[in-house]
Amino acid sequence: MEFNTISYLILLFSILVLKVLLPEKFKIPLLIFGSFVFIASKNIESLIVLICLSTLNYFLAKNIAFSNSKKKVIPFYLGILFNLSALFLFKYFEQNTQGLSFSFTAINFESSSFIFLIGLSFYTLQNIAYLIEVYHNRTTNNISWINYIFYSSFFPKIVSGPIILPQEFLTQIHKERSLSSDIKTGAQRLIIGLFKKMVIADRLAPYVHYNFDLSDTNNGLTALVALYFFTFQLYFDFSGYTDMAIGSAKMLGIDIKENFQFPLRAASVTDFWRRWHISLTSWLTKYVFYPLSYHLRNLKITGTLLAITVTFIISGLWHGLGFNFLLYALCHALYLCIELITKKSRARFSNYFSSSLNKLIGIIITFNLISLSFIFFRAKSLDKSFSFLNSIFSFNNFLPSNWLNDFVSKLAIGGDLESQFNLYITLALTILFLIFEKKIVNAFLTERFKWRYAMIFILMIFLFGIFKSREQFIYIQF
Amino acid sequence: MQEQIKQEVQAIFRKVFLNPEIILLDKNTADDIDGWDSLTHLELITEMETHFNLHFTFDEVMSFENVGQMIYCISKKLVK
Repeated sequence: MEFNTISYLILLFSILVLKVLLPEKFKIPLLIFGSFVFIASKNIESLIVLICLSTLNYFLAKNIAFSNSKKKVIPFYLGILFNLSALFLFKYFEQNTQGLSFSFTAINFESSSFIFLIGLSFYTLQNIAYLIEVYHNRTTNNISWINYIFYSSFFPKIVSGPIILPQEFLTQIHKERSLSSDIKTGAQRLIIGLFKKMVIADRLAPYVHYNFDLSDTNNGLTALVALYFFTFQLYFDFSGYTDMAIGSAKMLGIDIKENFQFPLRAASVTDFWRRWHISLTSWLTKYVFYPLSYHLRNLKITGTLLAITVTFIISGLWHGLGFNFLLYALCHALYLCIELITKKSRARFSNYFSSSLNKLIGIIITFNLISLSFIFFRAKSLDKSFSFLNSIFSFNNFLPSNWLNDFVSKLAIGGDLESQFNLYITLALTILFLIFEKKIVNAFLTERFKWRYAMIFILMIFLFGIFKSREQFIYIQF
Repeated sequence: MQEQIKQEVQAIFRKVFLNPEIILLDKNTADDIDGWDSLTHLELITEMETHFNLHFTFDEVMSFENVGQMIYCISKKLVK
């Protein structure tokens, strides 16, 4: 059950109606029940695994909290080891050995089915963060088991985050909230998310698929534009998912942290990481980068460069084992290291231009650097990645010799008028949304429900949205 | 003393953020100063440790919520 399906909307609406009708004391059991239905709709095994993992982490955290400083080391490291092992077992074995099959019970435990559903990568990070916070006495440990289950299974965030700590989540349960305001702002956010996913990301998906996976002989410009399509697709897919997660949670009375802040407007790669997948970046900064750079700070800038590189390598491994994700991560480590080393000279150089021109140049350079790194993220193999890079940098064959056959037809997957028209519509929708993105988001974040805007976006979803060949959310694989 | 430390901290901020116009207030956070992120935070800490010849623990580094807390921590260490 994905967010952009009718069954999900029915589930969300049913829970919402029951939440309004039932007394307050049934709120948490109802939301847990809704989450269990959501998870079990994929498979019952996932639900069992989720409950077991949550329970074990909960009791380990209790043990850490009530042990003295010497004794708590054991449950803490056990917990970290246990979570990392679960991640490795269910994620990496699946990648390497076509899936592990646990058939020692009547239920067949197919490892691949867990990963897709419960977003184990996200879930593990939450558990590790919780254990670290409890270990360092930075959080209170008066959470009940039922509340921890509620937090860990909450369905809007279970699949792909955003990553949130129990305290940030659970302190909201008994706060006074305006139900109508939550439903209005949440519904608006859900509509924007559906639009981003179904009208932009899913329309771009076939063009990206064709040019990355099926077409081998692209000229440089066609490959570059196809790469830009993927950057847009990934952004609209993941931020659309996040909008739907935040919107659904808001409708149910829970605020979830923002995960994107207009990242395609970033004027440097450092700035990009403050705006892209914020919850993961914050996690890595807090639990990997800060401790590393603190202990390496005597090495001055070399220590920071080392800490950046190690943090990004861990980020790459989190996305998946293999050279593609490693190279994607190393690209970003390299970009950040260069930005850090050249900070002073760039500041001097920027004095020659106006601040708006500096910003524009920064945005263009950053967008291209980010897009180039996404080649490793998207291509199915290392060979494919390098052949794609090779196409872009083949200066002898950069411009198409025949614009219709070698450029338009390749991007549009066909030279006929209908294919071209579809491509132009997709491009127009993408570019218009990007230009007016800030205005649209700001208008939809207000508590006043704007029926006119909502109806326009719903209409556009029905007119231009992809309903038949529904694309899976890209980040669901992590 | 607190004011003297504040002036010296301000000079460090100006050096790290390459901005001679920074005027520090106790309530300033990373949101108020352009470029104050995880990368520059540790640079700031290292500069302060060298300048004041003191040592911050990791928990202290992680707990600073604003400039005021940073200055208070430095003044406490200098008194010792």
